[in-house]
Amino acid sequence: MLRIALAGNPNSGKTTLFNALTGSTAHVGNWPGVTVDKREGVCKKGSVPMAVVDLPGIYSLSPYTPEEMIARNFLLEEKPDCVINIADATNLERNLYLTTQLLEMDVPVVVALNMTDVLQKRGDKADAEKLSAALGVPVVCISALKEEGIRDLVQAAYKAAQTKRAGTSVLAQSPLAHLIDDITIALRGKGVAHPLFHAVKLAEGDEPEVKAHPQEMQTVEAFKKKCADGFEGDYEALIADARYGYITQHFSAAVSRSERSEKLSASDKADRILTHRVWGIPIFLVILFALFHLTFAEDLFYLNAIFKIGFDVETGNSVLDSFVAVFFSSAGVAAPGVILFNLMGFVCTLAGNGIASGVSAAGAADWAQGLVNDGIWAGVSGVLSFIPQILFLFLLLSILEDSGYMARVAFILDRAFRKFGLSGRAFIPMIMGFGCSVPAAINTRTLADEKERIMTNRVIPFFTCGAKAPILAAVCGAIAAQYAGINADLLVFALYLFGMAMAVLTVAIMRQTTMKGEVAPFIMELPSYHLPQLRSLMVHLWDKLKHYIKKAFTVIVASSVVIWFLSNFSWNWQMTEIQNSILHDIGAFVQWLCTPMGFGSQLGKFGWVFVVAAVTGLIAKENVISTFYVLAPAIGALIPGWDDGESGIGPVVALMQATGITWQALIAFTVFNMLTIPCFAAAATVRGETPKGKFRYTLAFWMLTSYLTATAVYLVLTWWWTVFILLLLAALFAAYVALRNRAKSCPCGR
Amino acid sequence: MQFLLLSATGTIVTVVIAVLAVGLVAFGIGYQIWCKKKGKSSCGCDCSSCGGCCHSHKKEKK
Amino acid sequence: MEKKLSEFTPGERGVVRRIEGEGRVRRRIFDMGVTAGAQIVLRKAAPLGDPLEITVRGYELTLRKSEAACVTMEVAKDA
Repeated sequence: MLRIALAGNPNSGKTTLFNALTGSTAHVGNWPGVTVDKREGVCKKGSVPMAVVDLPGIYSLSPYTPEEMIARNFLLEEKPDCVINIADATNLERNLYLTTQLLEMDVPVVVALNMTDVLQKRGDKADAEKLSAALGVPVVCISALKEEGIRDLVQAAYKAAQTKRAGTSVLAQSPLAHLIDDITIALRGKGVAHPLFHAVKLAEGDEPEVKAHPQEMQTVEAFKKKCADGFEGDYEALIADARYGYITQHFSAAVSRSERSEKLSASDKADRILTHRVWGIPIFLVILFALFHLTFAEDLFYLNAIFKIGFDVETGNSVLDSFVAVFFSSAGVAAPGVILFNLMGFVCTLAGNGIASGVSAAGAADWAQGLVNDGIWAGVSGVLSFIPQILFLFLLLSILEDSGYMARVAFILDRAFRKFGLSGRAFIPMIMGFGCSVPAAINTRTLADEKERIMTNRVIPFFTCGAKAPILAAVCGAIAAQYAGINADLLVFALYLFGMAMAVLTVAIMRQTTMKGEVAPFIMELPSYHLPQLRSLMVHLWDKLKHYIKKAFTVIVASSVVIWFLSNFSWNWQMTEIQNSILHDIGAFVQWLCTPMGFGSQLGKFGWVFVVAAVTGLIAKENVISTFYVLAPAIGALIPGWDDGESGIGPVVALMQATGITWQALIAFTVFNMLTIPCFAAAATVRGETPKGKFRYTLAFWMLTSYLTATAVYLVLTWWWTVFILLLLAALFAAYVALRNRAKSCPCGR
Repeated sequence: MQFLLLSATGTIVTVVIAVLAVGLVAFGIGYQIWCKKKGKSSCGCDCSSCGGCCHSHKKEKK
Repeated sequence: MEKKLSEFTPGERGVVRRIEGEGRVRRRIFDMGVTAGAQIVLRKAAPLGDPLEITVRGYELTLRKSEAACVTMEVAKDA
């Protein structure tokens, strides 16, 4: 099968084209660097099926970040039959810069001018024929989003893939032509593939090339010496200038621009407000708060908080009452996210009752009924009931991502971030961490600096992901239900912010101790704003939903069954009360470890459930909640007057009553789960994205940070004056680090 | 034995539940191993929302 | 009149003369289209005065003042 690679600048629509070609639904977003790995699919739009490879976006074939290296290596080593170079027609000059480099390789190239519909709307025109004549390769106008011109493109690519093409360079007219010719011939003699390409890169002094061809580099050095004064010895500038010079020369003929009015476009207007000098950062915080408020607020309009208005509805019909309570409660009008949560809880309760009466009517053995109700269903429904709410949060995040605001956040926050030792660019993978740590960790490939990459990977789990969100929602909801005056959604927001603050703080500490160095440069394209595409939002949501369902019915259900078994059987395989179970013995054995954090030995005979929940969270963070749900009924059975809440926050409230855990300790428990080792999947990904041998430090970092922070949180919340002791310790630590750094930077000892 | 006290349907349902539970656990564990072998992310997604994490990125690393 | 890009005020425009600095960052600046002869308009500075947002070759690029200090500009006369 013929293989076609899609190459082009970041955010030029490669993935949209990939989806249009292959009919798949890969993730697209409006910021540079969404795709960080190659991705293969099959295109059946032409006469013959062809393999299509979507590559990460690149500005140039001189790699700057790891994900650009992936694209370059693929193009050079895997020898695709044809390269489709996608060029954003609204930004042609910079896009053609890459084209001039692709043309130097010995591979057929087809240029796809994308977004020509946007160009037309602006009143501009691109002349594909003139461009094709200037570049010497076919040029096809397309709109990947509207799927226009795709068939022509497939045909052109198919035709081109049948042919051979030798590289051509726009530098043929430049003063370097001789040098490049000489090296090309030398390399071709050695049988090197793409000799022209390598020759040009050598002349540019490209790092990987210089290492690979030291002999030819000598020719370059000799040439440089010979005519050092000719162009001030500045080859890099010379070659880049020559490329852009060639582009401007031929570009003006190919694209006609209508007279641009000096009026501000809608994008400019939005930008003026969103990145305002004074209001930029407050607006960002407000947007973030709105995000969480819409998802977690019981009291959306603050009716209860301000006017003490509540809605206690009693119609006498219990089913109707609980249905109305989905939307209103004594706490006020619920936010959309909470309504979704309540609705799902409503459905889960009905389904749970149905299942329970089903197995009971069938006359199954007691233990089997327990297994179904308190094992499988409790565990799964614990996760299921949170799905709509988390999906809603995810939808809001996707809107931010699609609109182009994410890149602006990096722009706004760069200065503040730099103080702590990160560039604003690192904030994009971190924000992705609100969804899932796994893609977030992979996205750190867009960061150029290795230290920055390691640090970002380490703190990404501190950005509470969709699997940890239920822990926050359940715990904060339960606390709010138990203690009047505590607002659940403010508490959730505070915990989210706390995670972010810990990320920034630990980065600052690492910068002062183990990860010293300069902050990485910040050079980034800012995409124009556009309205989020409904289709792509739906695709995001659908994927997330699939992901959740898959997880609920594999990892979570398996863990729930195991937990149920361990908590209902004793060491000699007899069914027993939970206090004699295997799980109790294991939990009680390690319970004391958590004493400093408030959920250890002081909790008495049921306190071990929190330790167990935290440990099961290492497999998948949803397990923390499903463990609560599985264990709550078993513990409830031992307590008189037990309120068996099947869904929602009921089980957590029940566990609070059974163990007598304080809200301070419950917060510490949540903090511990937020900051500790993430789930297996995330930990494995971080391991893959960071240099070899460093991962044990990362593990140690997670354990230490979570343990110490949770302890500090528990102490300060319980006895406020301990804050002074902790501050003193922190000051001592800071002083020690500062002194040590000074001693090191002055080796003479003066 | 508790089994002997159950009706015929009860016995069948009980056995089915037991098999189902064991099967689910086996499947859950097997799925994780399968993901690992395939180089997929065991976050359980072959979704597009993970920016390509499921496209055997492990092999890419040298 | 020559001036560093980092010294521009929002709205000011000019043409790139030359670019100092070295290594990968300089290469990246070239790759992004900031080369001799390119027209640049400084759009604005971020909330804390840094980084800067510029328009170059028809698109928006952001870079820090420290990187902009490597870019020597010829200030446009009419501005």
